[in-house]
Amino acid sequence: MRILAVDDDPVSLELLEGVLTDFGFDVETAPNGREALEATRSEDFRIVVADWEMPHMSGVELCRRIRQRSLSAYVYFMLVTCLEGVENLVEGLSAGADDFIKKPFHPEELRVRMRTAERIASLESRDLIIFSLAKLAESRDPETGAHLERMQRYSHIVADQLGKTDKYRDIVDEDYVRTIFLTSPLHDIGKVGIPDHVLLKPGQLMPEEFEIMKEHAVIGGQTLDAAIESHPSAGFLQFASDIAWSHHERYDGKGYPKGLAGDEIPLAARIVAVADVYDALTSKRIYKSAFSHEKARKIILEGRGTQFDPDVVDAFLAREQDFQRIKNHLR
Amino acid sequence: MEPVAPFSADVEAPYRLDELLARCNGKVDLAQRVLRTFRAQFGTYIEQCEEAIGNEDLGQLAAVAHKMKGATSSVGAHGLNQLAQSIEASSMEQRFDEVERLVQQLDDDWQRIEEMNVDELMRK
Repeated sequence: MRILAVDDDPVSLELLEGVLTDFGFDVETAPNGREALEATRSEDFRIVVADWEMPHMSGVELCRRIRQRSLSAYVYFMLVTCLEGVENLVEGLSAGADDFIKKPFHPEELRVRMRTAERIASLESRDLIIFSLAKLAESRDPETGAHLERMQRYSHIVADQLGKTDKYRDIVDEDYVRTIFLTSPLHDIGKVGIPDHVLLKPGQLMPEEFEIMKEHAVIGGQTLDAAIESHPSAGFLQFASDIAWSHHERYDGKGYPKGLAGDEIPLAARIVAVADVYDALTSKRIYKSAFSHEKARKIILEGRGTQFDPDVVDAFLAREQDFQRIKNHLR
Repeated sequence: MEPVAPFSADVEAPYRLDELLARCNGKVDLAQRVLRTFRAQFGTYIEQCEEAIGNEDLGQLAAVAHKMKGATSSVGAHGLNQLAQSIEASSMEQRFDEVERLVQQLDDDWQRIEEMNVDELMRK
């Protein structure tokens, strides 16, 4: 697979090119953003690895320019940066970057990230790309196991059940059920912007750490909103954005990040909220054991009308045997 | 009295070659190539720093210092990296006297480091 490596410092570029070549990639180099943009116009690169801070055209701007063009194939874009902080990550993700690596990088970290890049750049199916991006975010959190797979099935079941009721028959049709299955794995994609010391902390978060963790809903929502701006016709992205923004909102308005209440919370997010909490409760964490179905059911019932939409909880109850089956089969 | 420089490159052991080798995935030939590129490039960076000071262009100086930061971190030249960081920070704070002194210090350190036989270092 052809890779374009971009850096205005010849030393960093030599190192990047040498390591990528050692990994078996076919590497071309460009000494600045402008030449890199020209190279992507004339040649077929599936992965671009670019320094963030370069004069005239930064890595972020290069990424934005590449994304603005309608290319026939997806170009995976990795930014190399010594910048830190959520704002920088949001800027990079909003420009369309897929991943970041901190400078100076360790070759093993680069190798693992390049494997992900290669896998995603090879995919042509929208569904697989969506799921892989979700997996990329999840890959930073080693405790979650088959969380995404269970989540999308739980969400699918609840939506399917709601669609059988008179109240939701006209809203939740087969297309809706398919779309929630497709997009629910993106609910936590904003976790890619949460620092390791918070995301990977082995225990309960302190209040200030929890505030940082809460940012994942905003980062995920903003990232998907940026994608909607460049691809407004991709309807499933609005669905994904609603879920990313609002899956931690509460029915009584005491959730985050916006404190939305009741029907202000998009239905898809109300569905995913129950699916996400059920999976969190019935999964083992470093700081807690896996709760039984009965205990998780009790907690969700206690949240009916306060944390959760009563209609969604009722749909969960109507199909709880399906939930148990998935919980037991997808470990 | 002139303030004492906060950092000075360790001119006796300027490179952490173990770090460089690790970053090069253990490939000695790549490490040698990167180090040669560094040695060829760093003098140019210092010239660009001096030119920026001559033009009193601290924005340009900060940009060069940023590139020096990347280059020095790539080869594990921690002392030079700290000087580059100080130059970048002082440039952004518009502290002209301080950057002049730091660039002079960088030039002095580099002249001593440049004389070292890199191939000999890599063989050790």
